[in-house]
Amino acid sequence: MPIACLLTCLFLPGVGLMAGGYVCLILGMLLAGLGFVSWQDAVDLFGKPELRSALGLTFLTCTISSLMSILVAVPAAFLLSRGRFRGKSALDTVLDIPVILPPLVVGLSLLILFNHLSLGEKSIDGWLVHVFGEGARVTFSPVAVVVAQFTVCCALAIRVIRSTMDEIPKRQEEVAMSLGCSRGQAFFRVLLPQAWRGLLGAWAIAWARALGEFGPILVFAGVTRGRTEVLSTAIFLEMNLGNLRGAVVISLVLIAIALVVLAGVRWLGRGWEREEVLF
Amino acid sequence: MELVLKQVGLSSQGFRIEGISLTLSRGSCGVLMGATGEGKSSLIEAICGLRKIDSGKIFLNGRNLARVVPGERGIGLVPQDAVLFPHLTVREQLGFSSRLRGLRGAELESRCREVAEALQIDHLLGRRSIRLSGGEAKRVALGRALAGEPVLLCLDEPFAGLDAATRGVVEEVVAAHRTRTESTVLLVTHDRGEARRLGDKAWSLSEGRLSRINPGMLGEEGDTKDTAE
Repeated sequence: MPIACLLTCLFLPGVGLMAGGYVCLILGMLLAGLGFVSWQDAVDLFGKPELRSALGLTFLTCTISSLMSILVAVPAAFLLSRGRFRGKSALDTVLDIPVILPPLVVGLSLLILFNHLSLGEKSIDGWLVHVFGEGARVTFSPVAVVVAQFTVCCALAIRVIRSTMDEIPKRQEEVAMSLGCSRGQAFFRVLLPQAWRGLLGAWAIAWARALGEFGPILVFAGVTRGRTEVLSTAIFLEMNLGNLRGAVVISLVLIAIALVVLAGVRWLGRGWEREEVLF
Repeated sequence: MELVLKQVGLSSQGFRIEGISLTLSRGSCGVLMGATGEGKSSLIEAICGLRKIDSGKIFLNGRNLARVVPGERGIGLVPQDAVLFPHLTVREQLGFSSRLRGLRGAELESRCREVAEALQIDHLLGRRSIRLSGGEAKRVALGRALAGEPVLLCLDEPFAGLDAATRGVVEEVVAAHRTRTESTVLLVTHDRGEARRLGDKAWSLSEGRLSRINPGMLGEEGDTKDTAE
């Protein structure tokens, strides 16, 4: 058999084997986790009020930080996608920093920014406490969890929304403007309605990333039970307490939530796509 | 509305045009011809305010358009590649401009239907533009511009790719619109027949310079060499 023919015959099985091996690794991890714990472990763990509080705070902070990310990412992505200005590539690089930095560095940088960067006589946190009282302190508070999540998630959301906007021809907005739209109207009537799938995808990715965020939260918000503990940091806490089963249960819950969110968003996207074809 | 270009110059990657001057009186149709890549579409985009000019001035009915944003110019653009909005139905495309100007309800529906019937696309009103053929998309793009009742209609090869029967219908619609609204038309085309039938004045854009040609002579050898692709 000629070598070219042999390579052709082996190509698909080879590719399948490599991809399949990776899928097996992921499924193996999940199955190992599932086999390690019992249903009773989960019932016992989430029977504790502090874990239920962590679950609630996780949902709340992920939702707030992902929505904030979309709110900031849409104009930023528009600027990068449509704008022509000096320093654009520098701005592009700056917006990648939160994604490429080690997570602990993000947390540490936030800690320094809020507590050690002097603005006149006080730090940012110092001013907040001075003006609004002790309750306004960000560091080691639930607000810090949101800030830490937002810092990383927003950069990811910008990437996703920008690539969506890049795929929509700029000429559509130009034609809309020639037909009577202002720049803002062209954005809201032509660009944004076409970018909704990208927005939805960006929100889902931001939400899922916020769910798994650990390093920045640990450093900037700390892990105080019933106050700043979220599921990702609860795993760390349970492991430190020697409760490996508890840590695995929380990990499986995190995986399940992420899967539900991502599958839900994909299903919604497909549903709307089908509707568009029909009507 | 009278369109006047005075010593207009603009450049982009691959071409540079300069010293373009022309006058198109109210209700007349000017034809712009020339080989591909000479900058005809860019000149139209500059008139519409979508491209900055390097030099010169553009006046519409005596008003210098330098500081007038595209949406305020009252120009209807039909781009060469139609550029429909894929998320909108044909009805929404036709009503796009009128809706921006405050038209609603029965009045808006009547305007859309009137234009759609004239262009024989009324059976497509509920369809999204991604499901249209090339010829249908061209007619929708023309209808979208016409429905806004522009004072100046800029048509960038609007009849290219249409079959002879449809082309006839579309040409009639443009002519009827001109007569009814006294709007001025600037048409870019490679088709000498179109230029002869529709144009009152014709220019050829070649090597960055504009030269006047007689539309009545377009069928004859010698007067058309500038327009050959």
